[in-house]
Amino acid sequence: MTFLKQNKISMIAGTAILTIALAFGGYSFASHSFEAGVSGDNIPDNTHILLNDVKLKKGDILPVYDSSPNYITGHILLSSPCEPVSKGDDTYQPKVSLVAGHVDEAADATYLAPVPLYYINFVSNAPDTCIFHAHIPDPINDGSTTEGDGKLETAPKVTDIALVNLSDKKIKFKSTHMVDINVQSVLGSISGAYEHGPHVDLSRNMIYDLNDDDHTNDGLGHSGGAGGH
Amino acid sequence: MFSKNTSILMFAAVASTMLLTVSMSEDAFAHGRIVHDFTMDNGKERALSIVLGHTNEPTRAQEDGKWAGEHPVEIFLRDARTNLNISGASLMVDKFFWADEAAYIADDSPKETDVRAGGAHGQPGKYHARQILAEPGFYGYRVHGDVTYFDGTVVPIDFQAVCRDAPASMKSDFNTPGFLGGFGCTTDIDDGKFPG
Repeated sequence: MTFLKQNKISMIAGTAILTIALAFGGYSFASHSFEAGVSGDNIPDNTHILLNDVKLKKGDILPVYDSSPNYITGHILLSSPCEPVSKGDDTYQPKVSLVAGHVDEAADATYLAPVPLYYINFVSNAPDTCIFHAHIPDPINDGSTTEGDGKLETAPKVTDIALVNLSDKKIKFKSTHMVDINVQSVLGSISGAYEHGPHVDLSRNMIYDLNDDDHTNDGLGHSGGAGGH
Repeated sequence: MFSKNTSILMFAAVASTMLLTVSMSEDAFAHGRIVHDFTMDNGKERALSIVLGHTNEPTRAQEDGKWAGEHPVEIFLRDARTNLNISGASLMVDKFFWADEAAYIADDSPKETDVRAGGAHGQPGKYHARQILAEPGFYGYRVHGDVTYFDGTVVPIDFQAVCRDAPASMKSDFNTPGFLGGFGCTTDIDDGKFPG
């Protein structure tokens, strides 16, 4: 079987799995301990942004959600061009970075840090299109790859979500690239949440991968077993 | 500009909204809170926010034909940094009751111990222990058990508090330091009548 044919079959299988998962409302993905999914009549707020033909120069920022003055819980699906986390790695990182926190009109109340991202290899077609999940907020996992001073903890309270080009090259998105933000609940007012800022950590996202042989990058808080994350 | 009926309707709507807001505020504030710091297994500092009170505050004691007196102990468990609800905790409540301060001085032991506070179905982070408050007076609770944090760290908790209208000497003696705010003491259903 040729590589091209194998890849096609993987893509078809991956698309089928993704379709089934989305048809079940994302519950099969929400098995992290801090995502307390419940049945009920409240319909989540969903924002789906197609990124096709969007170009981000080095340093460009593309805000994709702002829930101010309330901080929220939610789930993010990111489809992006990608590259290995390190040379030869089978875990991929998006070329664009995903940051979250609170961008206040006053700089000292601003907190912005990278979000922990989960790479979903079986629905990805690296390096053209990789699928990532993120949980808002993630109370336990590091999102930042900064070492030492300047490293921020993942934002505990989130109103703002944005894509940033932290690479040295222009990023050009294609028709398979998008970001989908599913907001499930409002937890409170952001007023007074952050002070003595601005607190900003613009580093590439920490990538977690539950499906490779390396279990040091599994992250914390997932329930494991069948059903996925 | 508006007809008389329209004006009355608008006034009634505004008044109803104000009344509803006031009653909801009462519910929201008639609880006490304690923050419990702990260290995750990976060394990071975190904190639990534990809120204690009764359902349907203000509470009144049961009286036949007037008031059922159903006011379960209500506990809300959240991650203090993110405000995310924490489910799956194993919580117990020891229950105390005194008619007055003299009764407290005479015997400060619990009336019931290790009553389970179970998770409320479909409401992650909310726990309650069902009960009917039988008499007006000072109710106090010791909450103890284990909370499993999101990463799997098991956090033992143990604190106690008496209702907020108890004498200051009782509260300073009984309450765990750091317990802020409070839940209301239980009154006779007839105490709230107007004109009395």
